[in-house]
Amino acid sequence: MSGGTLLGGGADPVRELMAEHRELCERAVDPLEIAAGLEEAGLGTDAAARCRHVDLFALAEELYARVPRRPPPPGPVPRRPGGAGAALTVAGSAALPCAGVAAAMLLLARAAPGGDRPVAVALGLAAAVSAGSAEGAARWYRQVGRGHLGAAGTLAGFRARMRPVLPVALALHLAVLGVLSFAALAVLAVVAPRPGPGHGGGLLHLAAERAGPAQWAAQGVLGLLLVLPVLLARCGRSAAAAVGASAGAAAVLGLLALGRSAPEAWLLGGGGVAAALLVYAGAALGRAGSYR
Amino acid sequence: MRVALLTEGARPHPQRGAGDWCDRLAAAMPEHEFERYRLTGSRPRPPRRAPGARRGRPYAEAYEQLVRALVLPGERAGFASGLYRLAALAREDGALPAFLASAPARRLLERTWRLPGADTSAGQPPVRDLLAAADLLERWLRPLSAPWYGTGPGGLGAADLCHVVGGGPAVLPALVARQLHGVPFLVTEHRLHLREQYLGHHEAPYGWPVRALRLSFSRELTGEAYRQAAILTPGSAHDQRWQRRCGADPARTRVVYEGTPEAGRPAAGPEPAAPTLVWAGALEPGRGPEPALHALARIRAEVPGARLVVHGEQTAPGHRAHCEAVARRLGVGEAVRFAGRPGPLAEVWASGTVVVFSGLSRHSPRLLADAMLSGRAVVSTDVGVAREVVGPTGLLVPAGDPGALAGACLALLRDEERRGRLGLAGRLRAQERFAVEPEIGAFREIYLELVSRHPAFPAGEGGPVARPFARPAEYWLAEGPRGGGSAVDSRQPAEFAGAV
Repeated sequence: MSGGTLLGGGADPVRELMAEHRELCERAVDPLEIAAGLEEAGLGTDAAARCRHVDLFALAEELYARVPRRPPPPGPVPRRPGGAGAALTVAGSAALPCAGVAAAMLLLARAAPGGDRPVAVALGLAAAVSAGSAEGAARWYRQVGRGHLGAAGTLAGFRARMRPVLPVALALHLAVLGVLSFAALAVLAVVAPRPGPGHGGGLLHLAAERAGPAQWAAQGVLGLLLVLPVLLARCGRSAAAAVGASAGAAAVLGLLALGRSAPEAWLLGGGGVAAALLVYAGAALGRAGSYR
Repeated sequence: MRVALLTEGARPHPQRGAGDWCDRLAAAMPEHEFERYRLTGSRPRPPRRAPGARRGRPYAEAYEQLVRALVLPGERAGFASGLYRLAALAREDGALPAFLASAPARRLLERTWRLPGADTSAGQPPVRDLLAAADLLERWLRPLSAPWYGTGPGGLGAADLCHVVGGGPAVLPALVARQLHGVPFLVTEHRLHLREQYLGHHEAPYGWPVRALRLSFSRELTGEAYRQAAILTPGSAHDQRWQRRCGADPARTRVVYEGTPEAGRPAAGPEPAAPTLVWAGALEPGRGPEPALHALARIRAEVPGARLVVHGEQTAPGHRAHCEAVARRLGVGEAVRFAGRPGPLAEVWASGTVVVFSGLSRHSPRLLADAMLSGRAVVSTDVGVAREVVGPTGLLVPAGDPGALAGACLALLRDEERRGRLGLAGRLRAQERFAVEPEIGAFREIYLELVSRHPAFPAGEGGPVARPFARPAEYWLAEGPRGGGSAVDSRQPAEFAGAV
């Protein structure tokens, strides 16, 4: 076409524009975005006329039609700003339940029958120290959830990806609690050996025989009652977390007041509340909205 | 008559002086009652319970229609109908925010925007994007739940017309009031909201699919507003082309330039002794003074004493240092002064012999008009509104051509008589077009034209057949059937948290 050469452009002046604004054209969601971008780059009606178009919008339509869409890949997961402030908050939020559990356990220990009292104190201190691991498990869980937000394609897929994560987080916390409890019992066996003769075996054996299955089960329930509210609170369900924690404490104290023994109170009252919390957390924490 | 002024209070790019502008308009027309309605950006109180399964079904159907219109190119026409259905439902039981935040709404959005053929499916949206999109939709549709849609005092239904200032989400209440009560509305946009959306989303922390949905919503909402508006008043003919592209009827469009109270300002005093170019604006790539620096290097080859004063703060970090480096490289470092944040604009223009606008895009019409008011000659790149604002009273050069810019500046610097003549012509042109009085006069006429075409019948719907011009306008202005003033104090704007 002789008009094109007269106007000074090459054979296809649009091609130059395409090369110059390729990224804009590939990422545009519609022709108007290209028009806005071209205008921002200083092009006007005269530039459109050089490309034999009546205005910039028509030129943008052609560019939109000729350049295939190539959306940019999804970006990396936005990290939450962390630092000294966040660390302080974490330390503070971990110290609070820590102190609460310690106080509660010491109170319970006073109520425990004479022989079990040192054991109860040792287990209580171990649980208090494990509050830090509950916080860690909750943070890890939340981080995994945020990672899957960017990786999962659908809400159902997200739920499927999150399903095995909750048992793993709980198991991690319970394992840490178990190790801590065993260490506390070992220390107890050294510091205050059980009176009476005939206890053979090494330190491990001594520590193992200080607590029975009932006490270990109670310790497990206590661990669940610690980690589940922290998990819920970290995932934006503070109200449910507060209700769960106080319901657990109320159930145990109520049964103790009714004259049940401490392991029994933990297993019946605490266990019931922990089971309810577990079911609720399984349902609530599978929702994608909890991880923003 | 009663005019409801709808504005958006907060946004990432706050509309400069929208509040002042509304105040000025209301103060200039004391014969009308103005009521302010403002969408603010704060979070509302937590929503009530989501509607149950039975109530939720109409919500879900309307929402699905809306979302399909946003993501499926073949179903764009359903946008308005979905929007009005949601508005009607929200008005019935007010559970719209709760529905939009609920899990069924999210699943519906997920299902729809992964459909084959949807705009958004191209980016393989992960769940994170889905959540962001659901949040955005909830925020955009929040104005539908505003408690403004009654006919009582303070309701939009009792107004004679709605005046939307700034476009964007503020048109939503006007659209609903028009649909429910037949209240006409006009849209005044000094800067096109839709174009700002297209240009401003780059820094938004969203993925591509969310961006596509967001821009799709803006585009459809703007198109519907342009089609339904009784009158559109863009701030320039340049913006009018955009509006026409988005569906506006040229017959219902009137360009009304944004007036400046500075129009009565005396012209700048005597020119500085040395030939000086003055540049004002934001220091950022694409709009910075870089072309002016290149032009200055060429000018100094001919007029060795020429200088350049740059007024403005950097909005892109490091751009000022970049410009200084460019100036040194060009050998004009001594002749350029970076004056930083500009003081009163009158002094800025007075510090130069010729005013230079060298940006690649989007000159602000107000800044151009202010420069012209100073009586200094203007040289501008021919982009955006420059041609219609400056017209024949200044020199226009192609964008990105420092040689042409230098040539135009040299022509003016060498010819005192010519620059004086152009400067005076520019001052007169700006006074004529950008004064406040013509702007107020234009809106006064538009208001009267609107009510004459949409006669309000206080007896309510079902009254007599509309008979335009049955009563003179004075009947509605002075001794209207409503009698006394409204119960709402016009100084106290009604606010609703619904800005985007």
